[in-house]
Amino acid sequence: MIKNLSKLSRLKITDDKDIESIIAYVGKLNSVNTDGVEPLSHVHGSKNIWREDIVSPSSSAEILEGAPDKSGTFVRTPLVIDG
Amino acid sequence: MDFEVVIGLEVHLQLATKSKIFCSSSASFGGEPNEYIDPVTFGLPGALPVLNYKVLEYGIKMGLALNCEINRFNRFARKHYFYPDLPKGYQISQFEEPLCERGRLDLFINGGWRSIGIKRIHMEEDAGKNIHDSRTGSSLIDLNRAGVGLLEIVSEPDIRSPEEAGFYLKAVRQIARYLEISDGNMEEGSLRCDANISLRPAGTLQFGTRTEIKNLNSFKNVEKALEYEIARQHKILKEGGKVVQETMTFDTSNLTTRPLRSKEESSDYRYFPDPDLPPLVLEESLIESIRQELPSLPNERLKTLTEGFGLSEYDALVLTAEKASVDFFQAVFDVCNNAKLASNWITSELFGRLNKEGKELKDSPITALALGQLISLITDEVISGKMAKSVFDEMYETGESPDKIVEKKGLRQLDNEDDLLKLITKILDANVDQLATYFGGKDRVFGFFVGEVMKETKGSANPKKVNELLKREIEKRR
Amino acid sequence: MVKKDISSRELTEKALKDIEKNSNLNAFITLCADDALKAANEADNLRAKGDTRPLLGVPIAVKDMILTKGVKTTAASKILSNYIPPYDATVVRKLKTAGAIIIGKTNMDEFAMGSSNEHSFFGPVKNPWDTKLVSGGSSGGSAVSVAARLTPFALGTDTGGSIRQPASLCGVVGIKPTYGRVSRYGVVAYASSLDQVGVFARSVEECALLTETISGKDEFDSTSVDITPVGEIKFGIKGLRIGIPKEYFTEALDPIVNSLVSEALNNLRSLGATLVPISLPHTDLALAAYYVIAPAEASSNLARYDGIRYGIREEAEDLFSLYANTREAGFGSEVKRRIIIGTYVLSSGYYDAYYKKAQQVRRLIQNDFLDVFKNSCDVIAAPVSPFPAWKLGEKVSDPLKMYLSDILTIPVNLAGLPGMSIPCGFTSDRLPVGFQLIGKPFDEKTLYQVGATYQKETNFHKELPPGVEDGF
Repeated sequence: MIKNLSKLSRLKITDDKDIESIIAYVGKLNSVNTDGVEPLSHVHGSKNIWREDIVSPSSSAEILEGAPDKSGTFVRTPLVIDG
Repeated sequence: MDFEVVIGLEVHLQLATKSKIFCSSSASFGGEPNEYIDPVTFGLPGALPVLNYKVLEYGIKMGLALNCEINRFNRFARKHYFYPDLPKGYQISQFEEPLCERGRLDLFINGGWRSIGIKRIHMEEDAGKNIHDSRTGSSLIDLNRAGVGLLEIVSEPDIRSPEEAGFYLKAVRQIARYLEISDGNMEEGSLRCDANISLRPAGTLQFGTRTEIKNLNSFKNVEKALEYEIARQHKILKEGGKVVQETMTFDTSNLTTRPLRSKEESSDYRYFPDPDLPPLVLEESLIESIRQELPSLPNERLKTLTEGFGLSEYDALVLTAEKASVDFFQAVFDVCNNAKLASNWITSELFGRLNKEGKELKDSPITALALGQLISLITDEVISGKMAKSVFDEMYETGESPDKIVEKKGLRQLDNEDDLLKLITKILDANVDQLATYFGGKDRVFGFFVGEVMKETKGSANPKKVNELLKREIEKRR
Repeated sequence: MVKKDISSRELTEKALKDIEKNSNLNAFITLCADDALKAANEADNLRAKGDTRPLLGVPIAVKDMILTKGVKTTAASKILSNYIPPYDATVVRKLKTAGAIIIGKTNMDEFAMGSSNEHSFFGPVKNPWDTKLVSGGSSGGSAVSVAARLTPFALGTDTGGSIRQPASLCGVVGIKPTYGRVSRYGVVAYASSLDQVGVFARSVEECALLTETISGKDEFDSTSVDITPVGEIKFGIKGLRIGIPKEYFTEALDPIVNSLVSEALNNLRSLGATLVPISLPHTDLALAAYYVIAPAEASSNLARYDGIRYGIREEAEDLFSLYANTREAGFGSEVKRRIIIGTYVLSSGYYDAYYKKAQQVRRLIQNDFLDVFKNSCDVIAAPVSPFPAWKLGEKVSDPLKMYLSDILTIPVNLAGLPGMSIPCGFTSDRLPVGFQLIGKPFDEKTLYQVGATYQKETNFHKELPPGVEDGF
């Protein structure tokens, strides 16, 4: 499990103990019955937020400036291997 | 043991909106690499998504066209994986609560109807593009396409042959084009398809192990890949082996499928509802107003042409292939009121000419109105069908109206009885021997007389009238 | 400045000097000296021409979690240590429109994950009341900037208490507005459903001024909401019902905190308010719910930090290593910890038991608040931090112990309500203690009303740390 978490998050895990104790702590959520309770994801019940289909110009050059490695206006990474 | 083929298709349709699904960068094709980017597209810290209403509208249109239930409550979810063309490290998609579910696509295949179930349709954002250069050991990323709105259309595993799969894809494309929500072009990438295929013993219900085929870039290749995969799986199963569940790619050079190098991790996408996007709670009135805007769909138009206008299946299929064609047909019919002639002139003459020049209907120098007028001239017997062909050519070259051309060139049919009678009498008098041959039983000679009349009138005599009068005068002389 | 006692230029120069003088507090990561002085000159010119905007020419510190165009924004992380944003956060645009001067970016816990400002790539922030003690976090730098009167205002962010808690530990006013009141566009995301930008100030009245300035629906933030402007602050709380939640006054509370907060409540009562005992029964589950939801959303929001499009990039032969090496080197241990926890609670097979469950408990917690607001009281008062500032290094190696310092602030974020921390006294070691007011959704008006009335009768907010003078 931990090894898979490492891969999924692209991070090494070094303090299993702390993580385990935190996960054990949050397990106390199971002490309460939540049958039929609707999960709360938007605290004020917001809905139906959208915008018109309009194009706005943007400064792509400024945004690209932050990229550590470029080739022309492409962003460059080590070779991606997939079949 | 007989095996049944079970195919399900996942289609990604790139939507023809002006801006992207969650930001207002342009959704255009082409453009310099990384030209159509902004903080949201680029996954900058602090960037937030805002839904483009047009994508929702297009999604509802497609859902209605595919007879789906539109989920009044639906929302976006984050799908997590790491890949350079996915700037945020997650794709905004829909998971447990998609826009549409439980639909149906009716296919007209080989003279009959087949129903393919639509499992779901959902909205999501496209990823960017990677160009792999093994020569330099690097990959180049272009995020122009990242964030363009997509509809993912998932069929039920109801498809039973590669041929059916081809029909299904063409039908989805056709509907998308009728709705004007996408070009649906596989070669350009505005329609992409992943195929799932498995075999099972005929008559059983349990699904066999399936493989997924990705990176298919044309309708033909979808069919070929499926054909190859069917044969491959068949061989394995016949020899008592087990099919391995894996993802394949189709090699276009030798027309075979082979496994994609396995992904870095098993795909645990860790879906959860996107907290940056409030859910959609769709009002009836919204859905109704979109439903009102729907054009008549291909199957409806097909039925109208075959059952309403009495056209042949073949002709109806040609005309309904594109909405532009069947709209053109309707416009021509509205002028001339003759479905058969309208159909013939469009499919043989006009399409023939346009195809030869690699042109599309929208580039046609002959408008529907003009063609309708031309056909009316025929049905009103102002000109003969034969003459109409040369008028057509003139119309194509000059774009002038048929009336103008007929007047200009004096092509009105000669159908003045007295004039024709005079001519016929002259010809019959001049060809007594032929007449005798005709009376001797050689019916073919009738054509000779017709020909002579046509020659004398430079083809402008009304053929019907000529026939009538010739017959009468010939009999008189019997 | 209006009275022409001092110019914006002078104020700004003084601020820059003071910040320099107090660099041992480590409250700032980046100073915008040139830009600030230029803006100050401009402000003075405009004022001379008759511009009367209240924040014109006022120096403000901005937490380094909030993007400032052209000015390094790091979120106190190594992974963004070289990042210069190409755009301003909406709140920054609003500050600029108001004529305020952004003097610098303040230190914080990395990616806002922390309660003591000891988890910063740029070193810990010190408490000006006793520099051996923590400032609180994650907006430690901003709290200190106001506490030490380096600036009269500072912007912070609050996801689980990151404004209110350091405000309490540093003796200043701090507000976390209602979720959705202030735009999150251009604010580095930690936990999207909990994050809010808020304000540190010397008084409730000043806090209200700046909060109103940065509030408002933003077309770039789908979670921002239309708000009605608060208008004039009303003074006087006769007849107002103040709910006192019993679950916030347990043995976990340091006796001095208990005593000082109780005094504050008595004070409010003598000013005419009615104190109503209430119960928020699911309070003891809030910490657990938070430490599922926040890490989950964080693990998602931090997936974009991969060294490909911005930030630092580590050497790598292949793509997997590029991600792994960059993130390994770029993130601190607390951030990594929360990402792992977040990945766990979202992973297949665990989602229902953890994330979904936590969101359900969140609903119960919000219902607790909405019920009492409907039936029993107009506003709630409670302690903010269970204890005053503690020693640097004391809790930093025990994450769970550290998490417990937010136990009184977290429920407010889970419920999306507005919360404001107000100074209410000092320990015998002259360390500040604050109490918090919790309001109905979008009812900042009542918070200002109670807070301003309280501050008319008390002077705790005017007390200064040793060696500090108030030049504003």
